[in-house]
Amino acid sequence: MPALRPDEMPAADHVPIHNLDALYREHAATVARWAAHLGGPRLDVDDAVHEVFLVVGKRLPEFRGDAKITTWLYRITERVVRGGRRRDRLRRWLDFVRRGDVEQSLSPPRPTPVEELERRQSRDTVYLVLDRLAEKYRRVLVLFELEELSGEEIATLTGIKLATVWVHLHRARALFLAELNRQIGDRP
Amino acid sequence: MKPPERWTTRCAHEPNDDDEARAGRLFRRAIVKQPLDTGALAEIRARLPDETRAQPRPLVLSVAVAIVLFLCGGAVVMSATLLGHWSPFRGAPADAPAAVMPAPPHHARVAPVAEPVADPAPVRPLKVVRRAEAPVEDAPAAPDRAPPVAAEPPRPSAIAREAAVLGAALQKLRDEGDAAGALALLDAHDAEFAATGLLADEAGTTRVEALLRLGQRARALALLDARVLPPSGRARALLASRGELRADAGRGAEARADFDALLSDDALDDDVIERALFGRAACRARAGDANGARSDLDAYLARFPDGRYATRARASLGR
Repeated sequence: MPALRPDEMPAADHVPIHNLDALYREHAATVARWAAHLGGPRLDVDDAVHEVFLVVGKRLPEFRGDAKITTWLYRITERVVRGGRRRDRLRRWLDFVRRGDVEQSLSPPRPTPVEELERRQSRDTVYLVLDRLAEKYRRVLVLFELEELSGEEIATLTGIKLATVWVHLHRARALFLAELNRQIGDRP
Repeated sequence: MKPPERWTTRCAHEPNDDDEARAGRLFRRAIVKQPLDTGALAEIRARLPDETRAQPRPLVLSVAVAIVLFLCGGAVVMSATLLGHWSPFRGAPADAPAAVMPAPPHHARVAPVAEPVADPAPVRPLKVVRRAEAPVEDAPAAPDRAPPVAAEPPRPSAIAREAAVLGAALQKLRDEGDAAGALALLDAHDAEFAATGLLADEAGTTRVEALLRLGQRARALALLDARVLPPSGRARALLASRGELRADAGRGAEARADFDALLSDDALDDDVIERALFGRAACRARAGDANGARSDLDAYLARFPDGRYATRARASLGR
């Protein structure tokens, strides 16, 4: 997994920040991966990437280089994903999406290769549980376990202190395990 | 502080099966290495506007200022009206003579504090007390070239107007079932915003829907043929419609390509996949590929045993 290390994060002055094309070439795949991990299977990753870079294109003239470009991009991605998840919740609430979609997709819907099925089920389960966590815990757990970032990298991206990262991670793990056991216990 | 070990790492080298190892296995399988391939990223880039054209601040600001001005203006007018004072809807411009304004009813007026009016000449409309004391017959006639008009609220921005037109078209189409009316509004939309419209895709999608409701399948297909439809996001439903229309038009190979594109990422069990599976089965059957059609129908029934085409699929399979 190509984790993003602080020394790999380009300083703002290393990036041609006034060029959306260059930013896109360099960071679109990373943004897509962040979006996929933060948003889970319900998120439309290409829509999210499109929205992120629309925002980037609009705000590029205002970017003064106070933060690293990756930090800036991550925060935009996080906001876009959060908005997407909120819209998804609203849609589900409005019953545009059938209730229990996630639960239904946990059962084998059709004959597929076993590994693929397991992967899909695992992903659904992880996000079913993650979605029950508070945003601050969910975010840290995703960045640590799925993005495989270090504590320092998470602190840089999210703008919280390193000690807070570890506290959030500790609580997130405890909550995740409790919720996971509850989910598995509830399942027939 | 020593960083904790990742669950995803731990589960790989520890055979025990405690909660953390189980969570680690789940997380490992949930890692997505490359959610979008190079082609998908290139398509997204093509959909992005050139940053030199993006000027959001003036747009956002102008919309905000327009709304604030409109609301402030409305609030002032309403409060003035409620207090029985000046209303622009029955008044004249500020420097117009009082004589052109109809006198408010007596019961609605507050008795003025005695204040001698030396000059019955034109007074500003907001000074209601003085205007009321001015004898109507003494006032000069209003000039012809200055009709009494209310201050116009700021004109909404282009995007707001475009959204309003599109919203009206959608309402006609979906709430009122008036596809022809919706098309007329979409024509108006295209006439005004063809060059600059930010919602051109949404307008095109609505037009396709309206045409299909009117049974004008050839026109709908022509519109869809002209569009680049990635098999992702909101375009998936359009791609399925295009495949169905192409299949109906006897363009089996192109229809098959649309369905193949949709089924290349069939992670979702949704309406679109259901249509694509059945549509591809029909294309294969027409092309003489009986085994392929049978395979698609089997897959269809396995995934959608109660689907909308389930009866037809079973009949085709002789079940």
